[in-house]
Amino acid sequence: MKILLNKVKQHQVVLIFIFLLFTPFIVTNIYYLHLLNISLIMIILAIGLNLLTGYAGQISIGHAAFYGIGAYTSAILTIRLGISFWLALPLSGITAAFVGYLVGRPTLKLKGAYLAIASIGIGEITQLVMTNWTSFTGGALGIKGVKSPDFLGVSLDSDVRYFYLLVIIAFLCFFLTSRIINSELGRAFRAIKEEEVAAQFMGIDIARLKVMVFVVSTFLAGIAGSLFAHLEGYVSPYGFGFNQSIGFLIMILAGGLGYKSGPIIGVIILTFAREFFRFFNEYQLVIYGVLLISIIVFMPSGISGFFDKLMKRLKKREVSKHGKQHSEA
Amino acid sequence: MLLVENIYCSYGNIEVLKGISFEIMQGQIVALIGANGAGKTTTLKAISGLMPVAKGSILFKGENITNLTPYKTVAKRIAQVPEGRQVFPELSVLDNLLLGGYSVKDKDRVRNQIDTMFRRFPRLKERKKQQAGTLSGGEQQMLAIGRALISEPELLLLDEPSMGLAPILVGEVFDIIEEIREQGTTILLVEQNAHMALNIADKAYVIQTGEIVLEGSGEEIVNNEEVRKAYLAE
Repeated sequence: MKILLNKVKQHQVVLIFIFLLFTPFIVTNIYYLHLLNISLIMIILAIGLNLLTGYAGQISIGHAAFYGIGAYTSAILTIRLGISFWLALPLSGITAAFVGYLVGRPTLKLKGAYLAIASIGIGEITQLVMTNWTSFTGGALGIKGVKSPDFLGVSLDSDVRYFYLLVIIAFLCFFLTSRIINSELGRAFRAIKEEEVAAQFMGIDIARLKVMVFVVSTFLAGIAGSLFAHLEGYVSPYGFGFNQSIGFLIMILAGGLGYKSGPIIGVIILTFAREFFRFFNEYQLVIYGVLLISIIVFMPSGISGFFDKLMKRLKKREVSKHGKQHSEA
Repeated sequence: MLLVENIYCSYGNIEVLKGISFEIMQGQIVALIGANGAGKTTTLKAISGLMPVAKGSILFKGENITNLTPYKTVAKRIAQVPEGRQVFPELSVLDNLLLGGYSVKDKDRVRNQIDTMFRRFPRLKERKKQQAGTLSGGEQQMLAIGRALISEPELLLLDEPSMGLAPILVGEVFDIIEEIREQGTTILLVEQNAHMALNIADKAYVIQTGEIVLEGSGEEIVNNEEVRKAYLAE
């Protein structure tokens, strides 16, 4: 049965992959495809944030800063130093993760909301540096002319080509985090989220694991930032501030904290909902707000959580029905 | 096996342990009894490293383990069942047990231990995929004890295992504690249910406002006039 279920899941994954291959032919509107690309980038970040918040229970209100650090690192490395995108991409992740380590190491040792507070701080500092260190970051104008990456001599300079790059990287990130979640490490993360004291009695070095999950999560934010910079062609301090950090948290919350599909669903639905509500003009944000509140009120465990519970209930009903038929026969 | 020598602990300015000393021999059940707030749980926390010890020392098999971080204490094969059970409520019963083996490198051993636990507590096997938070109080206590035993500890610290359980279940829990001892695990038992604890204890210490005021075999303590008045409500 378990093997069968795995096979079903494998089929699902293959189906989703094939569907994604054809997406650029279905979504011919270049604006929507661009929006889809932005969503894929945010999914990469949200997957990491979900690992941190949804599984390990640690809250970061500054993830946009690590996103920004990744974007600026990539822009500066490729433009000023002429380093290839393929090297700048992992280096952006590493730089963000290094800053994450510096923030996480002292704050995650302490119990409570210290990471949340420190992450707001790092968000503000990053904004200030981006805006004011003009010689290095280009100040408020940012850095223009971030080039599209080349792949085997083909420039990924269109949204269609970039889409394929993003799909592959997003899939890789999804599998990486899924592996972590399903491993003993993932189980330890959930233990920390639920009962820190009891987790220590299991022999879990909670301070080390919390720093580790924060580093992984900021690494993914940095990767996402780099991909963003090379998609847009420029970086500027806007879009890496406090509001964006909150926005990411709302996305994983609406999608379903602690569900693997949560960040994907949350990002896609909230990004596209906003677009579709554009049609309401000035009421757009009001309706967006109503949507958010409805999700939180009617689906407290997020969209993924809601459907997961619904499926389980349906399955249970089916099982009990079958059971009855057996006993009747 | 465990030697606690003259330890002092405080919460801020309030000193809760004022020079506690006691000893546990291999294979014994040692009970620590006393009223609420006497310092019983704090003593356990000091041993497991959750509570900083200001003065004094704790030796385990001759090795100084004073102020070792909790996860390192576990590696020395000292396991603790925390007060109020504290299972991981949203994780499955099986996940809870697997976490009990987190510190064990040999995962085959963990599997074996889990099978042993399932034989001992068949109810847990039936519910192994269920969320631990949905179990009854008694089942959660069995799970918490079972989880602590997965790592095959040499010393098991039990904090109020009878708390909030129906009388029948309390008996069952104490039977299990004796069974664990028979299989070679040394036990330090902290209890408010002094009667039950003293019945199975080889040695007992009475703790009062952070000091040990009486010690003796379980039998001696049960028959002590003052103890009968103060803790056994007779």
